[in-house]
Amino acid sequence: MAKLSEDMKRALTIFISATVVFSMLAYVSVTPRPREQFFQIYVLGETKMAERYYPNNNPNIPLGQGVRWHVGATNFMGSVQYVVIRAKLGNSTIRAPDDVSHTPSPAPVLLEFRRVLMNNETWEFPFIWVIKEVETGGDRVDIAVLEVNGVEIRSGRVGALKGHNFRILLELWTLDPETGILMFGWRAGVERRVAWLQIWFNATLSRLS
Amino acid sequence: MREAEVAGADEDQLRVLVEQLNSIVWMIERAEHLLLQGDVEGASAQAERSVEASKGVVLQAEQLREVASERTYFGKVFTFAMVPVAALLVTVGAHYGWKWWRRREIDRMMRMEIREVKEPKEET
Repeated sequence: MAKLSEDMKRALTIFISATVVFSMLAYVSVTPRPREQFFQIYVLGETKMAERYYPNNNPNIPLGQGVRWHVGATNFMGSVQYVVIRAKLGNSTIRAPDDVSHTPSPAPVLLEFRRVLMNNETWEFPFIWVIKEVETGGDRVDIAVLEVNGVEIRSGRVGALKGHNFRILLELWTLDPETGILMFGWRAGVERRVAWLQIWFNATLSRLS
Repeated sequence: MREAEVAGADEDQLRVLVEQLNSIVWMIERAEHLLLQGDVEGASAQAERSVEASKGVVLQAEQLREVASERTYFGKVFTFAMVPVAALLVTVGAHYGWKWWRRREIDRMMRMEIREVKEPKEET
């Protein structure tokens, strides 16, 4: 075998080293980087800030009083996602969603808001609700009709003692790509995560004049 | 649509499909609303429209996936094909760079002069 000159040996060493380095760079450039996958959900008050969630900052909501919130969700899943926000009416005894077992609240659903979201897209919509009808029995106050964004909903009779400690729960549901059905929360790799919010209020029997 | 996205579809084209999907979601909601109001005929017409529209979106998503996966494949092939080319350019550059540097060093050495350095005599 012919002996390689010093120049040839050097050139060969450089060529092999450069090939290894550029191959690694090429691999990194064509391989997508793993990112944390999550959703963000939020509720803002009527001023689109984290304040003034109730008219005059008074959580005692009379009949006919409109309450304006802004609900938003942002998709950080790295892919297009079908998102559903379920608004539910609860009281202090109805179970809240469980972050550990990933079970949603059994509270009755008021309304669903659906949207397909691009990656990094934020979806925000107004959530305006009015207590239309209440029914009383002794100390118990039941919200019989609630109007959300102009749609009247017979909530399935959620009641509270003296009308105190009602809450509106907002749960984020997504379409599970594995099963093709809606699920509470989302899958991030092998993990399952949930996101939900709640805002408390009291229903008063007085009517807005 | 997810497959098209994974295949590396263009974001603007995906956005168009997402907008179409959202209008289908709106149609379904409208159909549900009509059904609740008792307008079965209107609801079923709306639902049919949404089914037709969703078929169109599926078709477009498939086309987008085909185009995107082809483009991504050729992109990868091109990237890896450029590896030996880049390595060769670096090798040639380094080879001539080395030669130039050696020449410069030799020239520098050739220009050197040998002089006697007079050291101060030590006092006894």
